[in-house]
Amino acid sequence: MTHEELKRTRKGSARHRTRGVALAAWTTVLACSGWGCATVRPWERDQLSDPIMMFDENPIDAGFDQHHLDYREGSTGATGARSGGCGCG
Amino acid sequence: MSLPGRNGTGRNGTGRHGTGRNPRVRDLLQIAWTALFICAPLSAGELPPDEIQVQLNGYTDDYGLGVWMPVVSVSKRLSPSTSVDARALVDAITSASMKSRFEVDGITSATHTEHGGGHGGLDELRTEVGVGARHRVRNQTIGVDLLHSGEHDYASTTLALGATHPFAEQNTELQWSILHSWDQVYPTIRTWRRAKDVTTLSAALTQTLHPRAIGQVEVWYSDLSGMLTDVYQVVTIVDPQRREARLYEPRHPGRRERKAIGSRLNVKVSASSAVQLGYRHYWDDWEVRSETIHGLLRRHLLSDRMTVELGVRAYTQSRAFFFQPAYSEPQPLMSVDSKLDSGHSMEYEIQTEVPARWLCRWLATSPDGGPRLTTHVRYYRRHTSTPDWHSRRQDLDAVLFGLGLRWAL
Repeated sequence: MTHEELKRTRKGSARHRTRGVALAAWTTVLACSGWGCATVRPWERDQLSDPIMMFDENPIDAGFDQHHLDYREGSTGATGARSGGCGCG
Repeated sequence: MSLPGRNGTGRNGTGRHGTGRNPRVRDLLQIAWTALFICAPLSAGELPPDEIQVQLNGYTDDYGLGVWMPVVSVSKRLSPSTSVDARALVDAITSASMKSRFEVDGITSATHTEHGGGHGGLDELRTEVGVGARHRVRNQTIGVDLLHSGEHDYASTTLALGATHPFAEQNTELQWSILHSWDQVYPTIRTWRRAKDVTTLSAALTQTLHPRAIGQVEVWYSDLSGMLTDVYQVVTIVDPQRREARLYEPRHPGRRERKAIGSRLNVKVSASSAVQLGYRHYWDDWEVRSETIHGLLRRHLLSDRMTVELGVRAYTQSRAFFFQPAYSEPQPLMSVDSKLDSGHSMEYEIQTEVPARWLCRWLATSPDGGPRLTTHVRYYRRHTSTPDWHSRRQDLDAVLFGLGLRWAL
């Protein structure tokens, strides 16, 4: 198999993998959009409201770190979204 | 931030793929719009808090690069359902490689070349300004951001749209965003100006798993086209028979598709401590693959207003298919960019946040305790399989640090 054929085969496999990931992600989204997973009641959420439970509580600091990594490494993305389980972020 | 090693413009300035002509991006845009309407009737998102943040960040490494980056950010609610924010920052850069001078072989370069490198003092100054707005519509939050960055050899304008949709009594939260960047590249050592387009889609699902645990999964896709080569870098090809070295301009593909999927888990392990674990898998059509894991320990000390965070990050990646440790003759695609080489890195960090009035009693206080002082220090070490094209070293050591103040308005 030539290098070009190998690249085409890999690209085809990568497309299938990408579609599989996207399909799994959207299946999860649609499932949660319909019913959600109401595992925790509002009165049980006091621990989750602590700022140390937030993802990326300081987005400027997180952005600076990611900025330097983007210029030193060959990959980026999917480093998380600012959020907190209590809906406070 | 124009550092040596940043992806610049593309091959021969041709082969650009505009967003509208890319079927994959079009498919993903349709998915994003579908998600917006599916999620529309569901329950409340929150607006960001009113806050002003001032921070001074610094970076230095043993390749001779130094960066100072002051940042000012303000977020303010105009009404119960609308908030606006603005940000401005400056990157002041000094770089040893930018002071070097290379005369690249004219065979592969366009028109005439000039000696590269910087002048005395700062080699580069980048300014960035951004504005954004968030609005609550039917208990979900929609946002838009506009960002512009400019420096003497690169300009970028970015437009981003996004939304946050909470469900299930705020136990589940879906965030998605789409952004497009229109970039212009005009190196000082060339006479041309070329475009680069970037379209990025992302979606994150955050789920409360337990009264003490939250999980998050994110998928991310980015399509780059146009000028993706950094012409400040130089490929050296040695001819042993003639006993001479010739210098060439790198050649990267004019298109790149990048994908990543990441997950994070935050667990409250005690009344004052939380542990966060994360993993990310990345892959692209240049055959760069990477794995990243990180861990954070956050803890309140002395009071719930003081926080200390300790973190560690491990990273490993594979090499791009067209990157070679050495070239014996010119190739259609060539690169010396260390970012595209195989290698690994480690990063260690410590961050603190304390009420500023603990240190400065004259600072005015407010019902929530007044401004908070934030500090961070990170140590970063990277190892590449091939020595860097300029420094000829395989290991890079860097230190990042920052000092900031955050006020609730």
